[in-house]
Amino acid sequence: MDPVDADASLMLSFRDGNEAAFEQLLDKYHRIIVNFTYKFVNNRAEAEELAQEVFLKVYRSRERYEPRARFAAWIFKIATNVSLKALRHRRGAPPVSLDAGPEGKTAWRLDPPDLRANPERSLAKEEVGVIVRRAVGSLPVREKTALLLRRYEDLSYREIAGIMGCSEAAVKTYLHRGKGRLRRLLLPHVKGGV
Amino acid sequence: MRCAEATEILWSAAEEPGAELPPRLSVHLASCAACRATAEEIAQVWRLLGDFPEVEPGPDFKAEFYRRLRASPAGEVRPPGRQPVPGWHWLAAAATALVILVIAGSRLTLPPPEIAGSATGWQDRWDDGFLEELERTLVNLDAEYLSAYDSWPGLAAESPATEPKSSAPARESQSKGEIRNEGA
Repeated sequence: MDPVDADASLMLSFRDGNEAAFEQLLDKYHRIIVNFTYKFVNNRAEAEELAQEVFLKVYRSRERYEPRARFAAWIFKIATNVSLKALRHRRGAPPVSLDAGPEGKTAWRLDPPDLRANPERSLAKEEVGVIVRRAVGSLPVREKTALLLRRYEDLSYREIAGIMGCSEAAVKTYLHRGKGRLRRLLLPHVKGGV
Repeated sequence: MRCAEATEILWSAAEEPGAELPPRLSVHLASCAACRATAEEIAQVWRLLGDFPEVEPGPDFKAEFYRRLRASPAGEVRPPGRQPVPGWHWLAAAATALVILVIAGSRLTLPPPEIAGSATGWQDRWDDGFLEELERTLVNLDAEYLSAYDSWPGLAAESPATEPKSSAPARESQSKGEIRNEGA
């Protein structure tokens, strides 16, 4: 175990009965985990539900916790499985979420402006967010998972491989494919002047 | 260096902004305008991904979590700061079972306490209800424990050393058997 993994130390302390240690972990990770699950399901309410489930699993698994890896890798493993399980249950649902958006504003626009037609116009931040969200959401599950864990959670290839149950070479392949797709999806908007 | 290889390295480099590029990539970029353009595109796309919308959890997230924890079948929740005995729910279940046995055993020798305004049947129904609820609690604890264990990611690849302790379930099942006998 990484000697400076303070979060693993907190979890061990919680395992030994220190409830305050769990509360520290909850304070630190709840926003992170909500945003991680949000990147899978694109719905804030559902993302919070899934995050609750993640922390319930963390809480109930305390007595069997062993710090074989960084705590972050462990909790993201749980969060990934919870999110993928939710996605499996959603099969058949419309692929685009028309939820009101995180700040309760009106539904996101489905068709961001085509900058090739009006290259001088720069995208508003919200529009950029829509484009990025749609692009990431369109990735195949494995590529999306690898990308989310690498780009947004900064996990190592080895940690991602442990979470996804595959080799590091497979992780690199998923990332390579995912990045290629994203480049094709996002390039028109990059050239249009973001 | 071929452009395809350069592109792959550029993507890896984009994951670590500010890191030095391998010398042979730098040499290739110096002579390949197409790859220089690709490098800029890759950097922009990687930065663009940072604009994925973020959400703020509701202010009641923690309160809701503890509410769900209390409402769950395991139901164990302790205020921060307390230091319980590890494996407390097994000990608590066994202790509760012992108390019930003592009470039930004492009822065989002692007359039931008189309760104003009710017949002895009321006391019997209360005891039966308590035993049934305890039975359900123990069953749910066991199911919750096994459910969490079975759904543990990657558990199948782990060593037998991670198997759950065998003494607690044996003690619990023994208690259940005794409770069933007493409640019959």
